[in-house]
Amino acid sequence: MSVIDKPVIDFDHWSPRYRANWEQLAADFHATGQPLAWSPHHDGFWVLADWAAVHHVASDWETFTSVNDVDGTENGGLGQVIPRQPYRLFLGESDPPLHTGRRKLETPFFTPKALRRWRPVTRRFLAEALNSVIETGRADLIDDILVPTTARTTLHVLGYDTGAWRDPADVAHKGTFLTYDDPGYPHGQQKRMREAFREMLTARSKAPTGDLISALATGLVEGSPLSLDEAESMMNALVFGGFDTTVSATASALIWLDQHPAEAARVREDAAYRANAIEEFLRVRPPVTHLSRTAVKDTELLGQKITKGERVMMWLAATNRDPRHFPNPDVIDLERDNARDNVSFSAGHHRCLGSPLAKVEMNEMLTTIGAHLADMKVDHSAVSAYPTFGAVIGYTEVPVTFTPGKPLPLDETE
Amino acid sequence: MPKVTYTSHAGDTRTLDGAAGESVMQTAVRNGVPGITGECGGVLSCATCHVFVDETDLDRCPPMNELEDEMLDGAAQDREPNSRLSCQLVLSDDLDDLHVTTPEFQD
Repeated sequence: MSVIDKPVIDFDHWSPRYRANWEQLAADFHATGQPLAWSPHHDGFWVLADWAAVHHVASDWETFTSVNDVDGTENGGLGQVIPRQPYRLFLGESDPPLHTGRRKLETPFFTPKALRRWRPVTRRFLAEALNSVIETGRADLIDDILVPTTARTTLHVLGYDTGAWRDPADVAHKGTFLTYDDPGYPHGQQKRMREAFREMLTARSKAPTGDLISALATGLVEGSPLSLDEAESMMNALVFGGFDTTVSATASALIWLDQHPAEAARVREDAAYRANAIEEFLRVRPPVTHLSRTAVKDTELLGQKITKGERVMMWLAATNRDPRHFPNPDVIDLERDNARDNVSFSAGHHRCLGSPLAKVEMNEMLTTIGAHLADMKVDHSAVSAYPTFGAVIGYTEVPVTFTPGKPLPLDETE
Repeated sequence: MPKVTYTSHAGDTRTLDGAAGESVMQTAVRNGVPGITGECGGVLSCATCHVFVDETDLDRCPPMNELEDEMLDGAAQDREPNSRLSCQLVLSDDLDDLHVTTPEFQD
């Protein structure tokens, strides 16, 4: 089959058009009845938004590889991000059994038992962030509250000095919405963070302390220790995936709740309602726009021939709007029965390992921020979203005002 | 059609029709059985589909692999000798009429 026979879509997730209209583009794509089409942008790729087919692609790693074969020694996979990234993420951009072995080093830190240790940590960091602004009556939700709370929680789980959170926070936050050649891109912070990670990995390999860095420094995968590059890449991925996404998801929820006070009150008070609301917010405002796979053999998807070497982009944001799975997909219904079927954390083997921690953090922030910043109002005219939505739908600034209050007693938050 | 009977911590019992190839976790989630979360969808990365298998059914279950064994250590409620992660119990003509009890909590 030649390219000309393919259904073609003029789709570029990095374009201003996408940023301005992605919800309409998703609705139009589904209206074709066949949400699979070829985009000529970024060297060409299939765009997929069918809920069931996305699960198939995410699960069938023997056909659709996650590998980013940067040095050309493996299966030719082009990685998880379009356009292809020159830096390989050794966990996200690998397949079983190597992926399973690498993931196994991190899973013990995200189990229900582990989360019991992290919840009070999040609470403490959240209280400290709130205290830094509570007497002033104004704040930027992103820089003052959401970023410090989530960055410090992730770094605590890693075993990194949580006082030194600003470099990793800049790397994850600014590195997500600024392009590499932007004068504000956090090159210096990135360099310092990566050097610190490598030093810590080397130190922990000699004297492990039971934290996640030690697990990466000492653990075996298929009988061999991780290389320093592999371990550092896994730490970088925890920083990149680990909290700016949670910041974006929480900011989206708080912005919407600001305009829906009845739902906001119920979210704060009713735990079961809140849990489902979080799923619905994740469905309609997924932080991660897409993840990609590469076909390593000829195959068929929704009746369409996919040729070996072609990329398939799982358009997660639009998959969450598949009307065949989510009736009236553009309606935000915090009591939607199947909201938890969203693919915002991806699906299959690579489904986000940290999703339970993200949900604990969202739970704490949606409950506590509105309760403690009395009469909080978002200044919607000054809300500023990321300049592009190619990787993540998020915000650079969400200014709020509130009635100044007294600092929270920190010992009572644990 | 293989059947599964779920008994809650409080003693409520529900028997459901599963499908061959579907896991005990998937059958529960599809039918909204409380007490089973299945956060990760069945790839052994969350330990939120913990169940206690009836002693009489235990021998019929597939053997536990190392990853499931490790994940069970992290389950919210402490594991017992008859603990399993229900995403690993895939229904079939052989693994039919299974009885499991859900723990008091999964997170």
